[in-house]
Amino acid sequence: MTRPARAGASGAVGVALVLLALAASAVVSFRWCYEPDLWWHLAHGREIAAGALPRTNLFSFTHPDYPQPSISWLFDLGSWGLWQAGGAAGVQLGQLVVVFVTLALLYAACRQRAGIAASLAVVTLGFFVLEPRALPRPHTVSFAGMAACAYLVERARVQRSVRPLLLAVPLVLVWSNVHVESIFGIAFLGCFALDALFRDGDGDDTAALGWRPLAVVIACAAAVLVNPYGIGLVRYLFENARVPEVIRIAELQPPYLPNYGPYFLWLIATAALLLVPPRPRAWEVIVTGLFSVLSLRYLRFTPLLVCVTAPLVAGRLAATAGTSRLLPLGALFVGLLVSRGTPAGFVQQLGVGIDALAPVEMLPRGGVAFAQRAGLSGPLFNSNNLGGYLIFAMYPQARVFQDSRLQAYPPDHFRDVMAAYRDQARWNELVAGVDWAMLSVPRANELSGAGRFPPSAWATVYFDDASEVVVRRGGAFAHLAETDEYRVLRPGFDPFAPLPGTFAAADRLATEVLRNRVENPQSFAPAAWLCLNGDDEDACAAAEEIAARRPELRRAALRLARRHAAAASGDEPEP
Amino acid sequence: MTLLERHWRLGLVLAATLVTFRNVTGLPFTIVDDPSFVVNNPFVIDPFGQGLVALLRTTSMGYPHTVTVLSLALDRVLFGTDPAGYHAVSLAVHVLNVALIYLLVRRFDVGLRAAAAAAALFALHPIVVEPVCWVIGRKDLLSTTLLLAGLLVLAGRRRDAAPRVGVLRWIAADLLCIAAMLAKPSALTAPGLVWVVLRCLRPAESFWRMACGVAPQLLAGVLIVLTGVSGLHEQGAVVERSRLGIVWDILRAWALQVQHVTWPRGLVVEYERTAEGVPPPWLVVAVAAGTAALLAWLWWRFPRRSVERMVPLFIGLAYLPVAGLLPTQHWTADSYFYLPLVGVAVGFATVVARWWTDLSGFAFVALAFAIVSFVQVRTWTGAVAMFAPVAAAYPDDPRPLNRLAFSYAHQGDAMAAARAYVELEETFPEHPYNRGERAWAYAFLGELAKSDAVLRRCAEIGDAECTGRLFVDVVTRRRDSRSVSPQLLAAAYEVAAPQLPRRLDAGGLRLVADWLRSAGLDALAERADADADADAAERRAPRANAAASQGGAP
Repeated sequence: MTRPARAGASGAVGVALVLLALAASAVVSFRWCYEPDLWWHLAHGREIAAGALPRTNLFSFTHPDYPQPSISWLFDLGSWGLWQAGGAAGVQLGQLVVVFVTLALLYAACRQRAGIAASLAVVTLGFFVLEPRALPRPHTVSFAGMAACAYLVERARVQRSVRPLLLAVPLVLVWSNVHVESIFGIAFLGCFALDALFRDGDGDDTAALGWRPLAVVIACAAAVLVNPYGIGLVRYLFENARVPEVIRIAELQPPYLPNYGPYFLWLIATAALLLVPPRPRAWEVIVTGLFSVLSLRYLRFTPLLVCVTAPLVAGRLAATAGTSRLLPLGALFVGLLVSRGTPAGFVQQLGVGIDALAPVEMLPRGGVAFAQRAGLSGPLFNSNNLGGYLIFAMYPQARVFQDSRLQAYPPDHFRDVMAAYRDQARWNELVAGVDWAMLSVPRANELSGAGRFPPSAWATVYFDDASEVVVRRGGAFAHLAETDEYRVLRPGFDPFAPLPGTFAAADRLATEVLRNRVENPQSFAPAAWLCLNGDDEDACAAAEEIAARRPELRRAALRLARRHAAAASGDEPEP
Repeated sequence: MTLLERHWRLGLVLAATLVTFRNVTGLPFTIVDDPSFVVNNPFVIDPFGQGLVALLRTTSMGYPHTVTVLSLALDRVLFGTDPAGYHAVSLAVHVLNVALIYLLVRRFDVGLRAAAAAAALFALHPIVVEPVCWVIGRKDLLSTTLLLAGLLVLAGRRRDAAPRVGVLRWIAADLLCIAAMLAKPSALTAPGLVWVVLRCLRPAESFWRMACGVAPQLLAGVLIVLTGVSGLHEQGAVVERSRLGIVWDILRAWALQVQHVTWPRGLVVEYERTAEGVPPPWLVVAVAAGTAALLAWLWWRFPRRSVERMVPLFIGLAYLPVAGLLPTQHWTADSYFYLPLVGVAVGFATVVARWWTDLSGFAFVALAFAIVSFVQVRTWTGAVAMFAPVAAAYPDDPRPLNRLAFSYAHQGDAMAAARAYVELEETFPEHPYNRGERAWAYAFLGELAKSDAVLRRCAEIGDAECTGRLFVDVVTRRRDSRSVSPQLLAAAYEVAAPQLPRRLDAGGLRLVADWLRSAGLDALAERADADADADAAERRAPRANAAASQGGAP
């Protein structure tokens, strides 16, 4: 009599868990996301779908012949397919599936060692470690690949059979064509296999496997090479590890607080749980140590630590913290407490479609539209973070100077840009071959070119919150300087700044603000300026509406309202 | 079983506390209270210089802080004005408190694991970051140390056979509790705290013996209240509020504290009483109703002298003096909950641990607290780091923005300070403080017309601080005197004149006189000259007196 009831309960729990995992995956997939790399992946996918696997850096005019292995060609192709099918929402949906699979596999792996409560608690906490790195990029697929390896290892351990591990071979075969971190999957499997090889204890769960796991690992290693670049995949990995020697990019930095709070919590908790009896197996210690070191060195590996240690943590958590049903709630509390976002923030960031995937305040959607409208084409200088989107949106009409495919350029390229940035004369030489440029407004750094296009030689013909377009005076697009130049208004202008001293200058400023209001409709500054100085009630309403969506503009909106009221009542002193 | 084997968990908690707060010794003195109460405090520089009575009253600090002042004076002897030493001592006191809580909790016959969990909760909770990182937060740390020591003396050893407290113990406890009150008068309710803890731990102690025992503390408490209230009035720290306003303020502060104890995110160095909707009214009502319901349930469900009744009483009594009853400008702060957190920790180990079997998994919560606290310490690394989050948290309130502007100026970022002051002026023109800085900010940014408009308003409403700033700026060459019209100059001088001798020396006053004269304001120039003469004479007088007392010629 009790059997059907239990089955029903477990079915309900299963459905609830699936819904929870789907909700969690949706939270990190359908959200505001600034990811410059996604766009060149899509561009690669487009080329591959057209039948041309890129082998050189064809998108850039600076180093078109430099070898560019599309080591994530399968991801690129798949993403392009999703884009074709559903646009930005399609890509987001694809990410949701990958994250869901990761969580499901992690849970399944944890369940080999622990009950529902402990497993769910571990996956919940693991979710918060994954969250900052859950992006529409190939490395997210590696989370799923590593979680699959963990699951297969656990199954092999529990079944004392090598049979589950055999699935690792096709897994690695596919994974190697999606992302280079498949090599770490083999390293993980290799640790387990070596432990099984050298273990000779009676009744031990891995001793019975003997040499067989090692044979599987060798097969996996061979499978890694089944990709268009063969051993080039491994070479890419080593080149990637040397990138920090050239430029400082975020994901190759050590993890930091407060953004990686859940990771540090996981790391310390795992280390502490390893000290709790029983003594861990050699492979468990080695795997934990290896991935701890990797993740402490490069933050991009932080989710991999979760994937390889989750079953171990779950087993030990169940042994030390019991089987209380409150454990998952505790993990949720702890995860939210140390995570970078707030619960309200997670909700506020939700978004579907192109506005979430290519935020207009970060990526040059308006800049590209202007360039296409104005007929800008050919080689251009662009900020490093805009290159990917330009490749996606403007190739072959335009060819970029640089982008975030760091292996697609020789290291000296970036060294030269950074060196030239410190000296205007060298910078002029660097950009001598281009007649137009697209610069990032919110991300000004040595690779952005910000401040190195002086108005004496370059004319700003477009800007919004994300990008600024400049053309060379006397260059191929000099005519735009005649018709579209912003002569007094500059990106990031202060709407509360005093008006210029002369009527002519103030009139010119008003004209340019009016134009910018049209080109940059989501920006607070032009709307606020027109509200204050143009007596434009529509602009006032627009500024209020923009500020209402962005809490950081709350005081600016208050200031605008006060000044507007003061001006209306005649209290504002004349300059 | 060795001591280490028994108490290794406490060792772990203490080590975790040191690691969590390891950056504390690199923090500077803050711009809030530390300059006046620590660095430049005459009582800290020379504790007995103004006599014993003055030291016992410390009127300039609002209310008696005698023990805290002595502790800071000792720091000054040891470390001079290097903040690292002060912070190290504060951290050491906090660590000592953690150990004392562990010992106190053990008196309630709880296990080693629960006692360590209580210690960890107290040690690592982000709400303790403020008293640990703020040098003047020493008063909270010290008063808690002394009170805990007093409670431990009364509680006796864990399996003490004697059911009653001996006279010597009472004397020692009274001295410690009075010292706690003199460290910070928020320990005024020490007699009540002693009472509720002792009734729980030593039920055999008679009412009259306990009453006699706490009588000295009560007496000391009354004296401190009388001294403190007059001190607050002298300091001008008292604000007018309606009765309904007081009740609402108390409920809001309580809701905020409960929110921060249960969800310690978004902690800032200052919470604004005047900010509307923070915390949201629904939360205030929910917390008030929840607290009332919990108390009703505990009183209905558990007997007298039970630990379940003792814990809320302890928290309530410890919180009462800082709950907002006193009509001071301060509303609430994280450090206000330092002492009440002792009650939370005791309740956690004694009551919560009964339902939460073995407190399994609490180590992860403690670890999370440690991480949040570690990050929270960064808030105290400088004036701007302190007040930028406050300004962001209260966009509708002028005071945090004013503080932020001051912080920029304090850190030498004149441009950011000027922009912030201008933002303050344009967003909250009615804000009564630092109008002079706002006038300076406009002038600094080249908007002289707006600067003059602010100064004119200051002259109209008689704001001497504001108009005086104009003269200070001109004398210190921060502003060109030619940019000010004679009419504005005359109006500003009329208002500023009484305060100018306080802000400028004789040389400065003579420069003002020259300026007035060059603007054709001869009558006012003569007045400035007279002020300069008086100031010069005043400055000569002490030197002459000193020379005379040494037998030399003046």
